[in-house]
Amino acid sequence: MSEAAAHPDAHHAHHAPTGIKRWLVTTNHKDIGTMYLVFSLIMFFIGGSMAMIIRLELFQPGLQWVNPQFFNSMTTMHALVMIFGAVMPAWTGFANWLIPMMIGAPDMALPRLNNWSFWILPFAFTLLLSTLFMPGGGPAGGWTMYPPLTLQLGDAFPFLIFAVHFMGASSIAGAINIIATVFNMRAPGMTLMKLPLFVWTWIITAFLLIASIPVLAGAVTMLLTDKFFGTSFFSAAGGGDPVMFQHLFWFFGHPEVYILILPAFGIASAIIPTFARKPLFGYSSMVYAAASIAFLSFIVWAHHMFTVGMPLAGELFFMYATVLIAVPTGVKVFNWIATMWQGSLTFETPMLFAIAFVVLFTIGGFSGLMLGITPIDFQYHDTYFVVAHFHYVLVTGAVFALMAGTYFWLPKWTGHMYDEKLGKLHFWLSTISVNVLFFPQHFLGLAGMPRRIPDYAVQFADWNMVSSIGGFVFGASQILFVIGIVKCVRGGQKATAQVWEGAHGLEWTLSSPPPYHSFSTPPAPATIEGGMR
Amino acid sequence: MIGRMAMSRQDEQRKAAVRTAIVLALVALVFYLSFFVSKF
Repeated sequence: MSEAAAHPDAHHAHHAPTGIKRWLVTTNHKDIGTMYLVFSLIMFFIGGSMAMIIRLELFQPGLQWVNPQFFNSMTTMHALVMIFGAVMPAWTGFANWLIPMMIGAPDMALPRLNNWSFWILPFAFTLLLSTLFMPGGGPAGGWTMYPPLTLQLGDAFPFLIFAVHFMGASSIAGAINIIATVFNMRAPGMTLMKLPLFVWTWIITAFLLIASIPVLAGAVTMLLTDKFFGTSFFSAAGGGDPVMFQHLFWFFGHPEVYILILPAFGIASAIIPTFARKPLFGYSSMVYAAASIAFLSFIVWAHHMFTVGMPLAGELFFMYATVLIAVPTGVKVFNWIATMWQGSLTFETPMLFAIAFVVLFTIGGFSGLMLGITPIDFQYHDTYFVVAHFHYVLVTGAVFALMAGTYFWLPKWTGHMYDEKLGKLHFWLSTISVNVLFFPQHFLGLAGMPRRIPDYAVQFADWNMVSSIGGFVFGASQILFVIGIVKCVRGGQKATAQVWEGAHGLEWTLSSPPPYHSFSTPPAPATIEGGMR
Repeated sequence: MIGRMAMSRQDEQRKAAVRTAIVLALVALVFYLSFFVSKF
């Protein structure tokens, strides 16, 4: 038995490519997961540098450092890089590393597709970032690419469209692979309602990707044909409708928000029970809540465009549907709190980030509720209040969950414990500075400061200066994150297989680091029962 | 023997996975194309 089971591993050992070729041609889920995570980290720093330029320019009223065109380009590219280059690939990296180990599978179902999904991304972002060096500069009409403004873009336009297509192809291929893996590769005994929440949230995310990314692809293809092939999909002069683009974009855009945040829910649902030393409260309600959020995400898109002028019935429908999302989201938040209730809590770095995620994401959720109310949105639309809202959701939500997950599984991935003191320093600096950065933006928005402007009226000066100082500290403190990761990869205290006293799940039954090929033979059903709670 | 059985199980899983992937890819393609068809 052992000879036959060991055969594929032995084959790999004899013929495995080394050096750069290993990474180019690898079909191993752990290698591809690592590449996604490293790529994402690089993109975080590129997108973060753009944010620093934005905050530098907004430090004082007036034009100090960059011209308005370049400033607009920075806001546009910061969003595209962070959403498509940093957060989405980071989640796919987590999925690659963890899902096969969590479900007891030897690898992803379609390993060659997996390699291709990753390697599209560096090409996509080379196309996108190269536009910054072109005559006319990079895309500057906002990441939402609304026509007719975006159609005025110069040489960068086709690069933007093809980059978005490539990113979309990569995401769809990754999503297909994840669904195919979870539906077909689970170990015997691993029924759907025994799956870890991270796997559940990722399946739901993958369905959202498959249903929403083609809509974005369709919309940007129509932009391309409007620009170069004489169509008038979005041109009123030719019988088209520019508002139709907004409908198409946000039919993708709102599910995209949940694509970015649902895996974060899965991460919190893994970390909080571990450090509370209690089973997750309300497992099945967590699954149904995630599915409900996903369904609702497809019927709320027009809350992003209340101000375009739509029938009262439309405004009411989208307002009610939007605030309805608070119900399943509230279920999740209450379940996390109930999991912590009377638990034997300890506060290692992953738990600190997970708790901060729950608290700060909820603040982002509340401001989202405010924006979802139509008459209030008329007041807040396109102000800094919106900027504050979605940064609470995406930075203290998605990014904090990514950091929590990184600290949580880093010992499993590398075989070494990370530096706890450095981790805690990173946490406290990040948590304090991120609130200094984004909380004042609520005040700015309520006072009427518009978003996407390089200059502003003097009454907004004080809070902008505070926000920029928070931004610089937050940006600098991420260097600690990289130092912590590099230190952990290079060495440190050996990690045990279980790593955390309260950790449960199949990935913790493997050694730290896990073998290159894990679960070549599926784990016994008893292992699955023992690993679950 | 058990190892061989495990391999053939994996082969079956892979075949099923390819079928799942083809169906999902077709769904994505139909979504993509339907937007053009509806607008022409």
